Amino acid sequence: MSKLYVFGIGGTGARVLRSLTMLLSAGVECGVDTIVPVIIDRDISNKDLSRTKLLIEDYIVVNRCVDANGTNKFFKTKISLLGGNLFLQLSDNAQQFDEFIGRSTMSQENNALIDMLFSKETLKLNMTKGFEGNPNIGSVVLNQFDNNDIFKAFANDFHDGDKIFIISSIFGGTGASGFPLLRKILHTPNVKDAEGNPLANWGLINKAPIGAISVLPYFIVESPPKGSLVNSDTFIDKTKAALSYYKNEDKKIDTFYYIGDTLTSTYEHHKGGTEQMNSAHFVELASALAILDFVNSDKQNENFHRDAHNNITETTYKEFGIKTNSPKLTFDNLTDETRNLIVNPLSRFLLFAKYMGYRVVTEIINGKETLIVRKIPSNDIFEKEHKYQPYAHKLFTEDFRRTNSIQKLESIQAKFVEWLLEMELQNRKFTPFNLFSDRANDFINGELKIIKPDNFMYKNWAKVDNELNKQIVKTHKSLQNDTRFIELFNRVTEELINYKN
Amino acid sequence: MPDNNDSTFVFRLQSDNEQHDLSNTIKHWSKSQIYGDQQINAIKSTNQQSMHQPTSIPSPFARIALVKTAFSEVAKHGEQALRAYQKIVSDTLDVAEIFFTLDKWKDKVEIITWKYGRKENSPELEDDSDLKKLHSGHGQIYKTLKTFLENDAVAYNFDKMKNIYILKYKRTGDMIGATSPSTLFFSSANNYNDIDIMLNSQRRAFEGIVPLYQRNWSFQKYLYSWIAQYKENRNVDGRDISIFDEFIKYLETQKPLINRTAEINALTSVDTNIFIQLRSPDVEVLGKPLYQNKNFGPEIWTANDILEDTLIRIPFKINKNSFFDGNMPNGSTQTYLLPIKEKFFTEYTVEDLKRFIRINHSGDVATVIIEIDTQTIEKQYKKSNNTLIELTFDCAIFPNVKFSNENLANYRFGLVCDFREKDKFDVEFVKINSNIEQTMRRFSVRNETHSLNRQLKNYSLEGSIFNYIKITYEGKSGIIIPNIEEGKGSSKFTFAIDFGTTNTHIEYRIDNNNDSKSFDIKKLPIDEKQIHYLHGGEDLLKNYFDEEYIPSYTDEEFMFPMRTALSYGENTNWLNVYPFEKASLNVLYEKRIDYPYNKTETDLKWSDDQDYRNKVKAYIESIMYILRNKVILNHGNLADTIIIWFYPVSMERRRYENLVTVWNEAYRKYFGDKKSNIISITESIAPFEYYIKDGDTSKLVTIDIGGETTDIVISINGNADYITSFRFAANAVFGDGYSKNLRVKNGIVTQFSNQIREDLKTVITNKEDEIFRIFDDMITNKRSDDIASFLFSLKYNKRVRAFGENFANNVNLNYKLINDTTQKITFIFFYSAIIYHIAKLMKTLNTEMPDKIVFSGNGSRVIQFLTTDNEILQDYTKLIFENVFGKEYLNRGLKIIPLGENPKVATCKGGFYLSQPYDYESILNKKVVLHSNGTNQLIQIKNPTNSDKYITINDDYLEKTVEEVKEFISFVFENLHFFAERGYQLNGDSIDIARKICTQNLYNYAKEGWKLKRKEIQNDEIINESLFFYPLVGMLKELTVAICDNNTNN
Repeated sequence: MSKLYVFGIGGTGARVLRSLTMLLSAGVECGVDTIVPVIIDRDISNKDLSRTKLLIEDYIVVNRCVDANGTNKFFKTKISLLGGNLFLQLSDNAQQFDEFIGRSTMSQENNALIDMLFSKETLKLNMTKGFEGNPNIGSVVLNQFDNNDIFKAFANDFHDGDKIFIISSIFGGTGASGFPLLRKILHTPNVKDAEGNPLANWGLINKAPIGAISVLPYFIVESPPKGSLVNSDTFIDKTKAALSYYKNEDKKIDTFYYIGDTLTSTYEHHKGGTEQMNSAHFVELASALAILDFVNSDKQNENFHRDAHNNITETTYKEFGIKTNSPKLTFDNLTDETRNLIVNPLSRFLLFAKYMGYRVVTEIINGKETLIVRKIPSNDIFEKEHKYQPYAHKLFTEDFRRTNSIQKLESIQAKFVEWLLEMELQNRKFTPFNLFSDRANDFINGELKIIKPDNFMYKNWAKVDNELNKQIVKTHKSLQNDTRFIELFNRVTEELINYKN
Repeated sequence: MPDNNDSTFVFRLQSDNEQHDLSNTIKHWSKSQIYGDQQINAIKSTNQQSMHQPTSIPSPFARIALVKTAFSEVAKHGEQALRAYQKIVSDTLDVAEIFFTLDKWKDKVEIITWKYGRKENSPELEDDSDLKKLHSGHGQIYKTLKTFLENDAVAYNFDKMKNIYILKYKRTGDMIGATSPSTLFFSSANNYNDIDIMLNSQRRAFEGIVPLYQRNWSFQKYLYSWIAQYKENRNVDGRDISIFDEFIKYLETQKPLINRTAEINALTSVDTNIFIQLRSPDVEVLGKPLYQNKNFGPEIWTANDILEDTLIRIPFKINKNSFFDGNMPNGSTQTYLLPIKEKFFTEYTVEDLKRFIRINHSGDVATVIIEIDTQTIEKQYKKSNNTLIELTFDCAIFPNVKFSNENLANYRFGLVCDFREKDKFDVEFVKINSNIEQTMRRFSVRNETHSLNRQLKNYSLEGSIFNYIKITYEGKSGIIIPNIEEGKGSSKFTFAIDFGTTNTHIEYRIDNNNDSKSFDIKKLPIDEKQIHYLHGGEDLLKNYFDEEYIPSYTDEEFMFPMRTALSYGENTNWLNVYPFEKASLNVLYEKRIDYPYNKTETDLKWSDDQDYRNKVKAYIESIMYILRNKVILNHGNLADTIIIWFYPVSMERRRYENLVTVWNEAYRKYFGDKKSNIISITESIAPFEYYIKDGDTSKLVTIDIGGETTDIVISINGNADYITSFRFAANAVFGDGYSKNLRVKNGIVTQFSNQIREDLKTVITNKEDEIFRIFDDMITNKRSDDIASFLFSLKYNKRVRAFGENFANNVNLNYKLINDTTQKITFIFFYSAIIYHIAKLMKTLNTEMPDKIVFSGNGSRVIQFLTTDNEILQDYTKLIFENVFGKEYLNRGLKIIPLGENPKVATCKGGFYLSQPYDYESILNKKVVLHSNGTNQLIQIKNPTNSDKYITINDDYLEKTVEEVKEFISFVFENLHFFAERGYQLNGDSIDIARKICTQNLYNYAKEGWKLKRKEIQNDEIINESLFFYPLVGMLKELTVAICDNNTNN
C-alpha cells in the first residue's frame, strides 16, 4: 500500500486536483494505490476549491463501491482524506496581515524590518480572500502546517514508501507562497507542534520522495478593478522573479515539473471568493499527468536520483511536450505516450456518461446562447433501455439509479462532460471529443480511430446495448449492483473502445 | 500514428526566438533542465512598461530577492527591462546614495539596526537578539523568518550577514531603505516619492528612474571601488560565484555608459581620502564596512549646503551696473548680499550663479531660489525669525577691471561702516577653488581711533584675481559679485605727468593723436569710473570713498591740475605704504574738509622729511594706479603705455635719482617691465618743445614758473641751447619765506583771506558750513602757500559755486589780486627779478635779446597780478632787457605769449612733442648758472674749478650776492615811473613801505637761503642755481607782511 500525498496549493492546486480526479475517474493508471489530496488555501470560499471538494467527495463515494481487485479501471485509485479533511485549514481570526503577525506589539527594530520587507498595502491586506498575489505574506501566513490537525494527521499517517507531490502556480498568491514554504517545512528536521511535541514520522517525511509541479502562467485575468492587488500585467515578470527564487530548490526536489502556455485565456477578474471559478484547461490536465508521471513505476530511474544516504543528488526537471502545436488540440496533437495514457480512459468514460444521457446542448440563458451540460431525456439511453435490455433486468431498476453511489457516479459524469467542455472553450482548446454528438460511435474529433471496426449488425447505441448484454454475464454475481454496474461499463467500453498505437 | 517527427511543441513560456537551450523534442513529460538564468531570460515580459512590481516570491524576504532579480534583469536588458525593475534598481541606488551621504540627512533620517548576525564561517549565531524578540508573541513570523534565513542562507548570504541597517524617515516614521546581504541595499516596496530628501540636483529620492551611469561620479566611483575591494566568491556546486553577482553584473553593464572605463578598472579599493566609513552605527554589509562621501555634489545639495542661514540686506538700491543683483525683480530698492556658501563654487562658476539665482522679496521676507540644472533649491529668510538682517554699510571696489595678466592685478575693496561696528565686519577676496596667498592680501584702515567717524576697512589684493567677495558680519556671510569686465585692447596711451610742487597735472593722448586731454574719468562714451559702490545710496558713506580713494568721475571738484597733496591715515608706517591704503593722493584737497583721522602733506617734491621717498612713492603710485585703470577701462594695452614725467633742472641729482627710482618702480609694478616706456624730462624743456612745435621762432625764451622753481630755456637757433633753473617761483610771493613757524603768515594770504572770509559770510550764513571749517583749518594749520592755493581754488569750489558762478568768480584770491593795488609792488619785484636775471644771464652768454618769451607753469599766473595788459608787460620786459643789455630793441619787438587757461598744459603737452631724448646728462650740458657774486661769470659746468662749486660759497660770496640784489632793487625803483606813465595804479604807501624795508634784511635772507640749500648739497657739487634769488625770497615775504600790516592798520 503506497500513498501519494498531493498538496494542491491555491486555486491552481485545486484545479489540477480536479483534473487528476477526472483522470482517475476515467481510470487513468496511477502508480500508487492511494492519493491523499490536501488543498492548502486560506481562501476557502474559492469556487475552484469547493467544486474540487465536491468532486472528490463524490469520487470517494464511488471509489468505495468499485471492486479494488477486479478488472475495473473506473475510480480504481483510492482517494482518501486526512481525517476526512481535504483542506488544510488555517486557524486564525486575523483579517489583516499586520494583525496576523502581531505587529503592534513588536519592538522598533522588528517593526522596521517588517516595514522594509512588506509594503503598507500588503500589511493592511484583508487576507480572508487569499493573498491577492502576495506570496511573501503567504509564506508567513501559511507557515502553520506544523500546528494544524491535518498536518499532524499527515505525519501520523505517513509511512515509508509514501511519496509527496506539491502542486502550485508560480504567479498567483497562495499557490506561489505555499510551495517553497511547504517544501522547507517538510525538509526541516524535528518539526514540533505548537505545544512542542515532535511530529510523528518526521524523519521519514524529511527523506520522502518528493515531486512538485510549478504551473507557470497559462491564463491572464482582465484588468483589475481598483483596489485589487491581483494584476496579471506582471504575471510573466512575477513568474520570472519566482523562477529565480526557485533555483534555490534545486536538489531539494526529486522531480520538478514546469508547465505553462503562452496562448493564454482571459479570465474574469476576481480577487477570489465565491466568484473565482476558472474553467478547466488542458494545462491542468497535463499537470495532473505530471503527478501520475511522478508515481509511474516505469519512470523510477528517471525521476529519482538519490545517494546512499538517501540524499537527492540531482533534481529531474521535466517539461510537457505534444506532437504539434495548434490552438485546437485533439488527440492527434498529442504524443504517443500521452495518448496511450488518456485516450482510452477518457473515451470510455465519456461513452459511459453519454449512455447515461449527459451531453452538451445550447440553451438560451439570460438571453444568451450558452453551452451547457444536461442530462437529455431523449439521449438518456439507460433510461430508455434499462427496462428492455437483459443486462439491466432485475439489477439496474429505476430505484437503482437513485442509490447514492450511482447518483454520485452520474454527478461525476456530468462534471466530467462539463470539464471536457470547459477545456474546449479555452483559447487553447482541448477538444478531442464532439460533445454535442448523441451517437455512440462518432464522438471523436480528429483522425484517431478508437472504435473497433467490427460487427456490422448493430449500429449506434444498439451496439452498446448489445455489448452490455454480452458482458453482464462476465461480471461477478456476488458484486453489489452498483459495483457490478461500473464493472459492467468498464468491460463494455473496453470492448468497444480500444485505441492502440 | 507513431511520432515521426522529432520536433515537438512544449508547454513553456520561453520564446523560441530567445536562446534558452531547452530541448524541443520533449514528448509527454520528459526530462528537460532547470530554468536557470538563461532560461528565465528567454521568457519575454508581457508588459515591459508595467510599473507593478512583480510580487511572486514566496518568501518573507521576497523584497530582498526581488531587488536581486531586478538588478539581474536590468543588467541583462537595460532599458528594455521591466519598468518596475528599473524602478527598483533606481530606488535601491537612491537608498545607496542616502547611505553614501548620510551625514546630510541626520536630521531627517535615522538608522535602525536589526540584529541577526552569524559567527563568521559558522552556522552559529552571534547576535540574533532582534529575531529572538519575535519568538514570544509573534511565533508565526519568528518561525517563518528563521526558516527562510536558514533555508535560503546561501542564496542570499544570510549566513554571512551581521545586521540589517534600516533607514527610518523621521518625519513620517516610514522605513525607506535598508542594507541587503545580496545587493548591498534594497528599497522599500512602498511608493515614497514624497520624501523630502533632495538626493541629487535632479530630484528627490525615489522619484523617477535614474540608472547608475546618470548619477554623480563620486557615487559611481564609490560603488566600483567598494566592489573592487570587497567582492567575494562563494563556491556553489564547484563553481565560484560572486556573492554580489547581480549587483556586480549591473555595475559592469553601466561601466561603458559612464565612459570612464579605464578609470573604473584602475580602482582597487575604497579611497579613504574621499570616502569615510559610516559610524554609529558602523554600517556594514556582511561585515564589510560601508562608507559615505566626504564631499557632496550638486545633485544631492540641499538649501543648507549652498545657502547661508542668514540673509544680509542693505536698505538701499543695489548699484546694478557695478554689482550683480541676484536677479531681483525690477524696481527693487534694496541690496542683498548673496547668501551663497563656498560649496556652490566647488561645482559651478560665478557665471552659473548668475543664471541660477533669483531673489524674490516682499516686505521683510525674501526667498532665494537657485535653479541648478533641473533642481530648484530654495530658502526663505524672514526678519521675524532673524534669518533676514538689515545692516547699513556700503562697499566699493576699485577698480572693477579684469587683469589678463594676473601678476598685474591690483584691487582695493573698501567697506565703510559705523566705527562701533568695525570689528563685526570682515571681507575676503575669494578665488574659486584656489587659495589666495596671504602675501597677496593686505588690510588697512586710516581711521583707527575716531569713533565719531566711520571706518573704511580697506582690503587690498595684489597679484591675484578673484571671483567674488565674501562679506561677513558677526559670523553671518554673504557674497557680492562685481561686474568685472576684461579690458582687452591695443590702444596706446601716453601720459605726461607734471608732478609739481604745488600742483600736479596729467595730460594724456591715445594712439598718437595730436590732441591731448587732461586726465579725466568720464561716463561717456565709455563709463570709465574706477570706483564702484555696492549701492552708493548714502552720500555720507560715499564721502569716505571719495576721500580715501577717488570720486567716481572727474568734475569741477575732482579735476586736473590738482593740488599736489598726499593724505594719509593714523599710524601710517612709511616703510610699508601702498597707494590707496594708508596713504593716497588727496584729490579733493582744499575742496572738501578732510576727515580728522587723515593728514595731508603738500610739500612733497622738495620735502626733506626722512619718509620723503616713501611719501613720494605713495603719491606717484597712487597716480599710476588710476592711470593704469584708465588704460584698461579704455581698452588700452598696459605694456605699451608711455609715461612721461618732469623734473626741474635745479633738482639735485640725488633728489632726481630718487624720483627716477620711484617712477620706474611704479611703472614696473603697474604697467610692466618695458623700461623705455617711462621717460623723464626736465620741466624747462617741455614747454619749450611745445612752443617750438607750435611753429616758432629763432630767439625764444621759455619761462616755466612753478610753485617752487622756475625753469628757463633759451633758444637762439631753434634748439634748446641753454637751460637754467632756480628756486624762485610762485611760493616766493605766497609762501612763508624763511619763517620756521607758521605764526606770521604771508601778508598777501593774511590780507585777502580775511577779506574773502567776510565775502563768503555774506552769502553763507551758517557759520558751521564746511567751507568755513576748511577755511579755519587752513589758516590755523597750513603753510601760506597752501592757503593761497586754497584761496585761488575757491573759484572752482563746488560749495562756493553753489551760490552762483559770479560769486565764485569774485570771491577768490585771483580776482582780489587782479583788482588790488596795494600788493602790486610785490609782483613787480617778483617778475622783474626773473626777467632781470635772465637778461643778465643772456648778456653774459653773449646772445641776442629774445624775440619772444613764453610763460608756462602754474606760477606764471602770478604775472597777471602784475598786469593783465599784455602790452604793458611786453614793454616793461623790453625795458629790462634794454637796460641790462644797454641797447634798444630797434625794429624788432618783444612778444610775450599770454597764459592759457591751464598754464601747466604746455609742460605736459611739450612732453608729447619731444623731438629728442633729454637725459639728465644732456640737460646738464645745456645748463648755465650765473654767479651772483658780482663777477657776472658763468659757472663752469664742464670743467669746473673750485670756484664753480659750492665750496666757494662763503660770507663774502653772500655779501656780494646781496650787493647784486641791492642793485636790482634800485633798478626796480628807478624804473617804477614806467608804470605811472602807463596809467598803472601803484599804491603809494606800498611803495614807501617797500623803499623802507626792501634792503633791510637781505643778508640774513641770503644766509637763510644758503642754509637750506646746504642741507641738500655736498661742497664738492657744482653750484646748480644762482644765489641771486635767496635774499629775494625773504624780502618778498617781509614786504607782503608789511603792506598787509599797513592796510590792516589803516
